[in-house]
Amino acid sequence: MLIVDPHVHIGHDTTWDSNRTEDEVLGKMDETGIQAAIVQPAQFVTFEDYKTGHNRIYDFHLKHPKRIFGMFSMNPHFDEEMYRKEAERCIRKLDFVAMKLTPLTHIMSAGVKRARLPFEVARELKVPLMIHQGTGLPFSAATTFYPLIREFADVTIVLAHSGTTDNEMEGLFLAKRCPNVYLELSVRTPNIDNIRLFAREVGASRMMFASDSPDEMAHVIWECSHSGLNEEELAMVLGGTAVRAFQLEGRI
Amino acid sequence: MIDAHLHLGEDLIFDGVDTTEEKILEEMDRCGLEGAVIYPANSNVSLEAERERNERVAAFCRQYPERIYGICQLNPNYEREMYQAEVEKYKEKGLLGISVNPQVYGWDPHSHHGQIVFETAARLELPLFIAVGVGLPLGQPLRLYDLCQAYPQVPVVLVHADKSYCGHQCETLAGECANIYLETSLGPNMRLLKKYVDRYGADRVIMGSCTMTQVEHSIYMHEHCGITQEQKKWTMGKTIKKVLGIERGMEKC
Repeated sequence: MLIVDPHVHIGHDTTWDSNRTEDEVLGKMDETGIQAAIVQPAQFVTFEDYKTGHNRIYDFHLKHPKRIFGMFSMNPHFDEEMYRKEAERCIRKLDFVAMKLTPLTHIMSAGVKRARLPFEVARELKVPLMIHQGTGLPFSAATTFYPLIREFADVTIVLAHSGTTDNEMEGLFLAKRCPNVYLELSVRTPNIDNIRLFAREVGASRMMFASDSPDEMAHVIWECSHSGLNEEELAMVLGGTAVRAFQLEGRI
Repeated sequence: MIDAHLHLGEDLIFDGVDTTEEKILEEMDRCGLEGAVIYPANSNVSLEAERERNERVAAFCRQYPERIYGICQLNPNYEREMYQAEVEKYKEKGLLGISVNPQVYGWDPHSHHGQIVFETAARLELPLFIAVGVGLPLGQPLRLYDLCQAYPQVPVVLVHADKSYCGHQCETLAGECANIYLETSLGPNMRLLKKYVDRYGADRVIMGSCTMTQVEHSIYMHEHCGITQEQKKWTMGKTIKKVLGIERGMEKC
Protein backbone atom coordinates (compact mmCIF):
# COMPACT_ATOMS: atom_id res chain seq x y z
CA MET A 1 0.00 0.00 0.00
CA LEU A 2 1.41 3.40 -0.99
CA ILE A 3 2.11 5.60 2.03
CA VAL A 4 2.78 9.29 1.57
CA ASP A 5 3.56 11.66 4.42
CA PRO A 6 2.71 15.22 3.38
CA HIS A 7 3.84 16.91 6.60
CA VAL A 8 7.44 16.61 7.76
CA HIS A 9 9.86 19.32 8.91
CA ILE A 10 13.65 19.55 8.81
CA GLY A 11 15.97 22.07 10.43
CA HIS A 12 16.41 23.61 13.84
CA ASP A 13 13.00 24.73 15.02
CA THR A 14 13.03 27.92 17.08
CA THR A 15 9.55 27.36 18.53
CA TRP A 16 9.71 23.70 19.47
CA ASP A 17 13.46 23.42 19.96
CA SER A 18 13.68 20.35 17.75
CA ASN A 19 16.25 19.67 15.06
CA ARG A 20 15.14 17.10 12.49
CA THR A 21 17.70 15.94 9.94
CA GLU A 22 17.42 14.41 6.49
CA ASP A 23 18.89 11.13 7.76
CA GLU A 24 16.36 10.94 10.57
CA VAL A 25 13.46 11.55 8.21
CA LEU A 26 14.64 9.01 5.63
CA GLY A 27 15.51 6.45 8.30
CA LYS A 28 12.04 6.58 9.80
CA MET A 29 10.41 6.56 6.37
CA ASP A 30 12.25 3.35 5.56
CA GLU A 31 11.43 1.84 8.93
CA THR A 32 7.72 2.58 8.63
CA GLY A 33 7.26 1.91 4.90
CA ILE A 34 6.60 5.51 3.85
CA GLN A 35 7.50 5.84 0.20
CA ALA A 36 7.35 9.61 -0.16
CA ALA A 37 7.21 12.72 2.00
CA ILE A 38 6.57 16.42 1.53
CA VAL A 39 9.11 18.30 3.60
CA GLN A 40 8.77 21.86 4.87
CA PRO A 41 11.14 24.08 6.85
CA ALA A 42 11.08 24.10 10.64
CA GLN A 43 9.77 27.23 12.37
CA PHE A 44 12.28 30.00 11.73
CA VAL A 45 12.51 33.70 12.48
CA THR A 46 14.25 35.51 9.62
CA PHE A 47 13.73 35.60 5.87
CA GLU A 48 17.26 34.29 5.34
CA ASP A 49 16.61 31.33 7.62
CA TYR A 50 13.51 30.37 5.64
CA LYS A 51 15.36 30.76 2.35
CA THR A 52 18.24 28.62 3.57
CA GLY A 53 15.68 26.08 4.77
CA HIS A 54 14.06 25.97 1.34
CA ASN A 55 17.44 25.45 -0.32
CA ARG A 56 18.22 22.63 2.08
CA ILE A 57 14.92 20.93 1.22
CA TYR A 58 15.69 21.33 -2.49
CA ASP A 59 19.04 19.58 -2.00
CA PHE A 60 17.21 16.80 -0.16
CA HIS A 61 14.77 16.52 -3.08
CA LEU A 62 17.59 16.38 -5.64
CA LYS A 63 19.14 13.45 -3.79
CA HIS A 64 15.78 11.62 -3.63
CA PRO A 65 13.70 13.05 -6.48
CA LYS A 66 10.99 10.39 -6.29
CA ARG A 67 10.67 10.33 -2.52
CA ILE A 68 11.18 13.84 -1.19
CA PHE A 69 9.17 16.88 -2.28
CA GLY A 70 9.25 20.42 -0.95
CA MET A 71 6.68 22.67 0.72
CA PHE A 72 7.23 26.43 0.92
CA SER A 73 6.72 28.05 4.33
CA MET A 74 7.37 31.66 5.27
CA ASN A 75 5.94 34.37 7.46
CA PRO A 76 3.45 36.33 5.29
CA HIS A 77 4.12 39.42 7.40
CA PHE A 78 7.50 39.76 5.66
CA ASP A 79 7.72 42.24 2.80
CA GLU A 80 5.02 41.22 0.30
CA GLU A 81 7.26 41.29 -2.73
CA MET A 82 9.88 39.22 -0.97
CA TYR A 83 7.25 36.67 0.06
CA ARG A 84 5.84 36.41 -3.45
CA LYS A 85 9.27 36.06 -5.07
CA GLU A 86 10.41 33.37 -2.66
CA ALA A 87 7.18 31.43 -3.12
CA GLU A 88 7.54 31.66 -6.90
CA ARG A 89 11.19 30.56 -6.72
CA CYS A 90 10.26 27.54 -4.59
CA ILE A 91 7.33 26.40 -6.72
CA ARG A 92 8.64 27.22 -10.20
CA LYS A 93 12.39 26.73 -9.83
CA LEU A 94 12.81 24.34 -6.92
CA ASP A 95 9.83 22.23 -7.94
CA PHE A 96 8.06 22.49 -4.56
CA VAL A 97 4.52 21.16 -4.54
CA ALA A 98 2.68 23.22 -1.91
CA MET A 99 2.68 26.16 0.50
CA LYS A 100 2.26 26.33 4.26
CA LEU A 101 0.70 28.90 6.53
CA THR A 102 1.33 28.50 10.26
CA PRO A 103 -0.83 30.98 12.20
CA LEU A 104 1.03 30.02 15.38
CA THR A 105 4.55 30.98 14.32
CA HIS A 106 3.65 33.33 11.49
CA ILE A 107 1.49 35.17 14.04
CA MET A 108 -1.27 35.34 11.46
CA SER A 109 -4.83 36.16 12.36
CA ALA A 110 -7.26 35.20 9.62
CA GLY A 111 -8.93 38.55 10.23
CA VAL A 112 -6.06 40.76 9.02
CA LYS A 113 -5.59 41.88 5.41
CA ARG A 114 -2.21 40.17 5.10
CA ALA A 115 -3.83 36.76 5.70
CA ARG A 116 -5.04 36.97 2.10
CA LEU A 117 -1.48 36.84 0.77
CA PRO A 118 -0.82 33.08 1.08
CA PHE A 119 -4.25 32.36 -0.44
CA GLU A 120 -3.60 34.70 -3.37
CA VAL A 121 -0.13 33.26 -4.04
CA ALA A 122 -1.39 29.66 -3.79
CA ARG A 123 -4.08 30.53 -6.33
CA GLU A 124 -1.57 32.15 -8.70
CA LEU A 125 0.91 29.31 -8.46
CA LYS A 126 -1.85 26.66 -8.53
CA VAL A 127 -0.61 24.74 -5.49
CA PRO A 128 -2.36 23.54 -2.32
CA LEU A 129 -2.11 25.60 0.85
CA MET A 130 -1.62 23.70 4.10
CA ILE A 131 -2.81 25.62 7.19
CA HIS A 132 -1.64 24.67 10.65
CA GLN A 133 -4.48 24.19 13.15
CA GLY A 134 -4.80 23.89 16.90
CA THR A 135 -1.83 25.13 18.89
CA GLY A 136 -1.66 28.89 18.79
CA LEU A 137 -5.31 29.59 19.56
CA PRO A 138 -7.20 31.70 18.73
CA PHE A 139 -5.32 32.42 15.47
CA SER A 140 -5.08 28.70 14.70
CA ALA A 141 -8.79 27.97 15.12
CA ALA A 142 -10.07 26.41 11.91
CA THR A 143 -13.30 28.34 11.50
CA THR A 144 -11.54 31.71 11.67
CA PHE A 145 -10.40 30.87 8.12
CA TYR A 146 -13.91 29.98 6.92
CA PRO A 147 -14.51 33.21 4.94
CA LEU A 148 -11.12 32.99 3.19
CA ILE A 149 -11.49 29.30 2.43
CA ARG A 150 -14.91 29.95 0.88
CA GLU A 151 -13.65 32.92 -1.12
CA PHE A 152 -10.68 30.93 -2.46
CA ALA A 153 -12.80 27.90 -3.32
CA ASP A 154 -10.45 27.02 -6.21
CA VAL A 155 -7.46 26.63 -3.85
CA THR A 156 -6.93 23.23 -2.27
CA ILE A 157 -6.74 23.69 1.50
CA VAL A 158 -5.19 21.07 3.77
CA LEU A 159 -6.04 21.55 7.45
CA ALA A 160 -2.97 20.27 9.29
CA HIS A 161 -3.92 18.31 12.42
CA SER A 162 -7.61 18.58 11.41
CA GLY A 163 -8.20 21.23 14.03
CA THR A 164 -6.61 19.21 16.88
CA THR A 165 -6.67 20.19 20.55
CA ASP A 166 -10.30 19.15 20.79
CA ASN A 167 -11.19 21.57 18.02
CA GLU A 168 -11.56 18.78 15.49
CA MET A 169 -15.23 19.57 15.14
CA GLU A 170 -14.19 22.91 13.64
CA GLY A 171 -12.06 21.14 11.05
CA LEU A 172 -14.91 18.79 10.27
CA PHE A 173 -17.33 21.71 10.01
CA LEU A 174 -15.16 23.30 7.32
CA ALA A 175 -14.57 20.05 5.47
CA LYS A 176 -18.30 19.34 5.28
CA ARG A 177 -19.07 22.76 3.86
CA CYS A 178 -16.06 23.39 1.63
CA PRO A 179 -15.18 20.75 -0.96
CA ASN A 180 -11.70 22.26 -1.32
CA VAL A 181 -10.82 21.32 2.28
CA TYR A 182 -8.84 18.20 3.22
CA LEU A 183 -8.34 16.88 6.76
CA GLU A 184 -4.76 15.95 7.66
CA LEU A 185 -4.30 13.59 10.59
CA SER A 186 -0.94 14.37 12.21
CA VAL A 187 -0.53 15.10 15.93
CA ARG A 188 -4.20 15.35 16.81
CA THR A 189 -5.79 14.78 20.15
CA PRO A 190 -5.20 11.03 20.24
CA ASN A 191 -8.68 9.77 19.45
CA ILE A 192 -9.14 7.14 16.77
CA ASP A 193 -12.92 7.42 16.97
CA ASN A 194 -12.68 10.77 15.23
CA ILE A 195 -10.87 9.18 12.27
CA ARG A 196 -13.90 6.97 11.82
CA LEU A 197 -16.15 10.00 12.25
CA PHE A 198 -14.28 11.96 9.57
CA ALA A 199 -14.54 9.03 7.17
CA ARG A 200 -18.26 8.77 7.75
CA GLU A 201 -18.89 12.49 7.44
CA VAL A 202 -16.59 13.59 4.60
CA GLY A 203 -15.13 10.36 3.20
CA ALA A 204 -11.61 8.97 3.06
CA SER A 205 -10.92 10.78 -0.20
CA ARG A 206 -10.74 14.02 1.82
CA MET A 207 -8.53 12.65 4.60
CA MET A 208 -4.80 12.18 4.59
CA PHE A 209 -2.31 10.54 6.90
CA ALA A 210 0.63 12.74 8.00
CA SER A 211 3.12 12.67 10.87
CA ASP A 212 4.57 16.17 11.41
CA SER A 213 7.59 14.42 12.94
CA PRO A 214 9.61 11.22 12.39
CA ASP A 215 8.69 10.27 15.95
CA GLU A 216 5.02 10.16 15.02
CA MET A 217 5.19 8.33 11.68
CA ALA A 218 4.61 4.84 13.07
CA HIS A 219 1.99 6.08 15.52
CA VAL A 220 -0.25 7.80 12.99
CA ILE A 221 0.02 4.86 10.59
CA TRP A 222 -1.09 2.69 13.50
CA GLU A 223 -3.99 5.01 14.29
CA CYS A 224 -5.19 4.98 10.68
CA SER A 225 -4.81 1.21 10.42
CA HIS A 226 -6.71 0.55 13.65
CA SER A 227 -9.55 3.01 13.27
CA GLY A 228 -11.91 0.67 11.44
CA LEU A 229 -11.41 1.99 7.92
CA ASN A 230 -11.85 -0.58 5.17
CA GLU A 231 -8.96 -1.42 2.81
CA GLU A 232 -10.06 1.01 0.16
CA GLU A 233 -10.49 3.84 2.66
CA LEU A 234 -7.16 3.08 4.27
CA ALA A 235 -5.39 3.20 0.91
CA MET A 236 -6.87 6.62 0.30
CA VAL A 237 -5.98 7.94 3.72
CA LEU A 238 -2.43 6.59 3.77
CA GLY A 239 -1.47 7.77 0.30
CA GLY A 240 -4.14 8.13 -2.35
CA THR A 241 -5.63 11.37 -1.10
CA ALA A 242 -2.25 13.09 -0.75
CA VAL A 243 -1.13 11.98 -4.21
CA ARG A 244 -4.24 13.54 -5.70
CA ALA A 245 -4.33 16.69 -3.58
CA PHE A 246 -0.64 17.49 -4.08
CA GLN A 247 -0.63 16.41 -7.76
CA LEU A 248 2.04 13.76 -7.26
CA GLU A 249 0.69 11.32 -9.87
CA GLY A 250 3.59 9.72 -11.74
CA ARG A 251 6.21 11.42 -9.60
CA ILE A 252 6.68 8.84 -6.84
CA MET B 1 -0.99 -4.19 32.81
CA ILE B 2 -3.93 -2.15 34.05
CA ASP B 3 -6.20 0.28 32.25
CA ALA B 4 -7.01 2.92 34.83
CA HIS B 5 -10.10 4.36 33.19
CA LEU B 6 -13.07 2.50 31.71
CA HIS B 7 -16.77 3.13 32.28
CA LEU B 8 -19.55 0.61 32.97
CA GLY B 9 -23.22 1.03 32.15
CA GLU B 10 -25.43 3.29 30.13
CA ASP B 11 -24.09 6.83 29.81
CA LEU B 12 -26.75 9.52 29.99
CA ILE B 13 -24.47 12.31 28.83
CA PHE B 14 -22.75 10.83 25.79
CA ASP B 15 -24.99 9.18 23.22
CA GLY B 16 -24.52 5.55 22.32
CA VAL B 17 -22.22 4.59 25.21
CA ASP B 18 -23.54 1.56 27.05
CA THR B 19 -20.76 -0.74 28.15
CA THR B 20 -21.38 -4.11 29.75
CA GLU B 21 -19.26 -6.25 32.05
CA GLU B 22 -18.88 -8.83 29.30
CA LYS B 23 -17.63 -6.28 26.79
CA ILE B 24 -15.07 -4.96 29.26
CA LEU B 25 -13.75 -8.40 30.11
CA GLU B 26 -13.66 -9.36 26.45
CA GLU B 27 -11.62 -6.28 25.54
CA MET B 28 -9.32 -6.78 28.52
CA ASP B 29 -8.61 -10.32 27.41
CA ARG B 30 -8.12 -9.31 23.79
CA CYS B 31 -5.65 -6.57 24.72
CA GLY B 32 -3.86 -8.48 27.46
CA LEU B 33 -5.02 -6.30 30.35
CA GLU B 34 -4.69 -7.93 33.73
CA GLY B 35 -6.77 -5.32 35.47
CA ALA B 36 -9.01 -2.32 34.93
CA VAL B 37 -10.29 0.56 37.01
CA ILE B 38 -14.00 0.96 36.39
CA TYR B 39 -15.91 4.20 36.66
CA PRO B 40 -19.70 4.24 36.58
CA ALA B 41 -21.17 5.58 33.36
CA ASN B 42 -21.97 9.29 33.50
CA SER B 43 -25.34 10.21 34.90
CA ASN B 44 -26.53 13.43 36.46
CA VAL B 45 -30.29 13.05 36.39
CA SER B 46 -30.96 11.60 39.81
CA LEU B 47 -29.44 10.06 42.88
CA GLU B 48 -31.16 6.81 41.91
CA ALA B 49 -29.45 6.73 38.53
CA GLU B 50 -26.08 7.30 40.19
CA ARG B 51 -26.71 4.66 42.81
CA GLU B 52 -27.70 2.14 40.21
CA ARG B 53 -24.45 2.73 38.33
CA ASN B 54 -22.23 2.73 41.41
CA GLU B 55 -23.86 -0.46 42.70
CA ARG B 56 -23.24 -2.12 39.37
CA VAL B 57 -19.55 -1.20 39.53
CA ALA B 58 -19.33 -2.54 43.10
CA ALA B 59 -20.97 -5.81 42.04
CA PHE B 60 -18.53 -6.16 39.14
CA CYS B 61 -15.62 -5.68 41.55
CA ARG B 62 -16.99 -8.34 43.89
CA GLN B 63 -17.32 -10.74 40.99
CA TYR B 64 -13.74 -10.26 39.77
CA PRO B 65 -11.74 -9.05 42.80
CA GLU B 66 -8.41 -9.89 41.19
CA ARG B 67 -9.03 -7.93 38.01
CA ILE B 68 -11.64 -5.22 38.52
CA TYR B 69 -11.11 -2.20 40.75
CA GLY B 70 -13.95 0.27 41.06
CA ILE B 71 -14.37 3.91 41.92
CA CYS B 72 -17.58 5.77 42.66
CA GLN B 73 -18.97 8.89 41.05
CA LEU B 74 -21.61 11.12 42.63
CA ASN B 75 -22.81 14.60 42.00
CA PRO B 76 -20.29 16.71 43.92
CA ASN B 77 -22.85 19.48 44.28
CA TYR B 78 -24.78 17.51 46.93
CA GLU B 79 -24.41 18.97 50.37
CA ARG B 80 -21.70 17.70 52.68
CA GLU B 81 -23.56 15.10 54.76
CA MET B 82 -25.25 13.47 51.84
CA TYR B 83 -22.16 13.40 49.64
CA GLN B 84 -19.97 11.99 52.38
CA ALA B 85 -22.55 9.37 53.38
CA GLU B 86 -22.90 8.17 49.81
CA VAL B 87 -19.15 7.96 49.24
CA GLU B 88 -18.63 6.21 52.55
CA LYS B 89 -21.25 3.64 51.61
CA TYR B 90 -19.37 2.83 48.43
CA LYS B 91 -16.05 2.66 50.23
CA GLU B 92 -17.58 0.04 52.49
CA LYS B 93 -18.72 -1.81 49.38
CA GLY B 94 -15.13 -1.96 48.19
CA LEU B 95 -14.81 0.99 45.84
CA LEU B 96 -11.36 2.51 46.01
CA GLY B 97 -11.64 6.10 44.83
CA ILE B 98 -13.88 9.02 43.92
CA SER B 99 -14.42 10.29 40.40
CA VAL B 100 -15.36 13.93 39.88
CA ASN B 101 -16.24 15.46 36.56
CA PRO B 102 -16.68 19.24 36.30
CA GLN B 103 -18.41 18.93 32.96
CA VAL B 104 -20.97 16.32 33.91
CA TYR B 105 -21.97 18.11 37.11
CA GLY B 106 -21.02 21.75 36.53
CA TRP B 107 -18.67 21.39 39.49
CA ASP B 108 -16.51 24.37 40.38
CA PRO B 109 -13.52 23.47 42.57
CA HIS B 110 -13.48 27.08 43.78
CA SER B 111 -16.95 26.74 45.29
CA HIS B 112 -17.57 25.19 48.71
CA HIS B 113 -18.40 21.98 46.85
CA GLY B 114 -14.73 21.80 45.93
CA GLN B 115 -13.94 21.79 49.61
CA ILE B 116 -16.54 19.08 50.28
CA VAL B 117 -15.00 16.72 47.73
CA PHE B 118 -11.47 17.09 49.06
CA GLU B 119 -12.60 16.89 52.69
CA THR B 120 -14.45 13.68 51.91
CA ALA B 121 -11.45 12.16 50.17
CA ALA B 122 -9.18 13.12 53.07
CA ARG B 123 -11.52 11.80 55.73
CA LEU B 124 -12.14 8.50 53.96
CA GLU B 125 -8.54 8.19 52.72
CA LEU B 126 -9.58 7.80 49.11
CA PRO B 127 -7.84 9.13 45.99
CA LEU B 128 -9.63 11.57 43.71
CA PHE B 129 -9.92 11.09 39.95
CA ILE B 130 -10.77 14.49 38.53
CA ALA B 131 -11.46 15.02 34.83
CA VAL B 132 -9.62 18.06 33.48
CA GLY B 133 -9.87 19.95 30.21
CA VAL B 134 -13.62 19.29 30.06
CA GLY B 135 -16.36 21.64 31.17
CA LEU B 136 -14.11 24.67 30.67
CA PRO B 137 -13.41 26.91 32.42
CA LEU B 138 -14.45 24.88 35.49
CA GLY B 139 -12.31 21.98 34.31
CA GLN B 140 -9.09 23.94 34.12
CA PRO B 141 -6.48 22.01 36.11
CA LEU B 142 -5.18 25.11 37.88
CA ARG B 143 -8.56 25.61 39.53
CA LEU B 144 -7.53 22.62 41.67
CA TYR B 145 -4.29 24.21 42.85
CA ASP B 146 -5.38 25.56 46.25
CA LEU B 147 -7.21 22.36 47.17
CA CYS B 148 -4.28 20.16 46.12
CA GLN B 149 -2.00 22.29 48.29
CA ALA B 150 -4.42 22.24 51.20
CA TYR B 151 -4.85 18.46 51.09
CA PRO B 152 -1.38 17.09 50.31
CA GLN B 153 -2.35 13.71 51.74
CA VAL B 154 -5.04 13.20 49.05
CA PRO B 155 -3.73 11.65 45.83
CA VAL B 156 -5.30 13.55 42.92
CA VAL B 157 -5.33 11.90 39.51
CA LEU B 158 -5.77 14.42 36.69
CA VAL B 159 -7.87 12.46 34.22
CA HIS B 160 -7.28 13.29 30.51
CA ALA B 161 -4.14 15.24 31.44
CA ASP B 162 -3.84 17.46 28.36
CA LYS B 163 -7.39 17.52 27.05
CA SER B 164 -8.29 20.87 25.50
CA TYR B 165 -4.59 21.64 25.45
CA CYS B 166 -4.32 22.13 29.18
CA GLY B 167 -1.15 20.04 29.48
CA HIS B 168 0.83 23.06 30.63
CA GLN B 169 -1.57 23.53 33.55
CA CYS B 170 -1.29 19.83 34.40
CA GLU B 171 2.48 20.21 34.39
CA THR B 172 2.34 23.26 36.61
CA LEU B 173 0.22 21.39 39.10
CA ALA B 174 2.40 18.27 38.95
CA GLY B 175 5.48 20.40 39.49
CA GLU B 176 4.01 22.18 42.50
CA CYS B 177 2.05 19.39 44.16
CA ALA B 178 3.58 16.00 44.91
CA ASN B 179 0.08 14.48 45.29
CA ILE B 180 -0.74 14.97 41.58
CA TYR B 181 -0.82 12.05 39.12
CA LEU B 182 -1.25 12.36 35.37
CA GLU B 183 -3.72 10.01 33.66
CA THR B 184 -3.32 9.92 29.90
CA SER B 185 -6.68 8.92 28.39
CA LEU B 186 -7.75 11.12 25.46
CA GLY B 187 -5.11 13.62 26.52
CA PRO B 188 -1.43 13.91 25.72
CA ASN B 189 0.19 12.84 22.48
CA MET B 190 3.18 10.50 22.67
CA ARG B 191 5.75 13.29 22.95
CA LEU B 192 3.96 14.86 25.90
CA LEU B 193 3.41 11.47 27.48
CA LYS B 194 7.17 10.83 27.42
CA LYS B 195 7.80 14.34 28.72
CA TYR B 196 5.49 13.67 31.67
CA VAL B 197 7.46 10.52 32.50
CA ASP B 198 10.85 12.18 32.05
CA ARG B 199 9.92 15.24 34.06
CA TYR B 200 7.69 13.91 36.85
CA GLY B 201 8.59 10.22 36.95
CA ALA B 202 6.81 7.11 35.73
CA ASP B 203 5.42 6.62 39.22
CA ARG B 204 3.20 9.67 38.63
CA VAL B 205 1.91 8.75 35.17
CA ILE B 206 -1.05 6.43 34.60
CA MET B 207 -2.37 4.71 31.49
CA GLY B 208 -6.12 4.97 30.93
CA SER B 209 -8.51 4.83 27.99
CA CYS B 210 -11.96 6.16 28.99
CA THR B 211 -13.67 4.45 26.06
CA MET B 212 -13.48 0.83 24.98
CA THR B 213 -12.41 1.83 21.50
CA GLN B 214 -9.24 3.43 22.85
CA VAL B 215 -7.83 0.56 24.93
CA GLU B 216 -5.54 -0.86 22.27
CA HIS B 217 -4.50 2.66 21.31
CA SER B 218 -3.56 3.58 24.88
CA ILE B 219 -1.41 0.48 25.16
CA TYR B 220 0.24 1.30 21.84
CA MET B 221 1.06 4.83 22.97
CA HIS B 222 2.66 3.78 26.23
CA GLU B 223 4.52 0.95 24.52
CA HIS B 224 5.93 3.19 21.78
CA CYS B 225 6.42 6.62 23.31
CA GLY B 226 10.08 5.98 24.03
CA ILE B 227 10.07 5.27 27.76
CA THR B 228 12.04 2.38 29.27
CA GLN B 229 10.63 -1.05 30.11
CA GLU B 230 10.86 -0.24 33.80
CA GLN B 231 9.00 3.04 33.28
CA LYS B 232 6.29 1.21 31.31
CA LYS B 233 5.76 -1.16 34.22
CA TRP B 234 4.87 1.87 36.29
CA THR B 235 2.76 3.83 33.83
CA MET B 236 0.90 0.72 32.71
CA GLY B 237 0.15 -0.74 36.12
CA LYS B 238 2.26 -0.05 39.17
CA THR B 239 1.40 3.64 39.53
CA ILE B 240 -2.34 3.09 39.61
CA LYS B 241 -1.88 0.25 42.09
CA LYS B 242 0.09 2.62 44.28
CA VAL B 243 -2.63 5.27 44.06
CA LEU B 244 -5.40 2.79 44.86
CA GLY B 245 -3.37 1.25 47.68
CA ILE B 246 -3.40 -2.24 46.22
CA GLU B 247 0.34 -2.75 45.91
CA ARG B 248 0.08 -6.29 47.16
CA GLY B 249 0.29 -8.62 44.23
CA MET B 250 2.09 -5.97 42.28
CA GLU B 251 4.71 -8.47 41.22
CA LYS B 252 2.03 -9.93 38.94
CA CYS B 253 2.34 -6.81 36.80
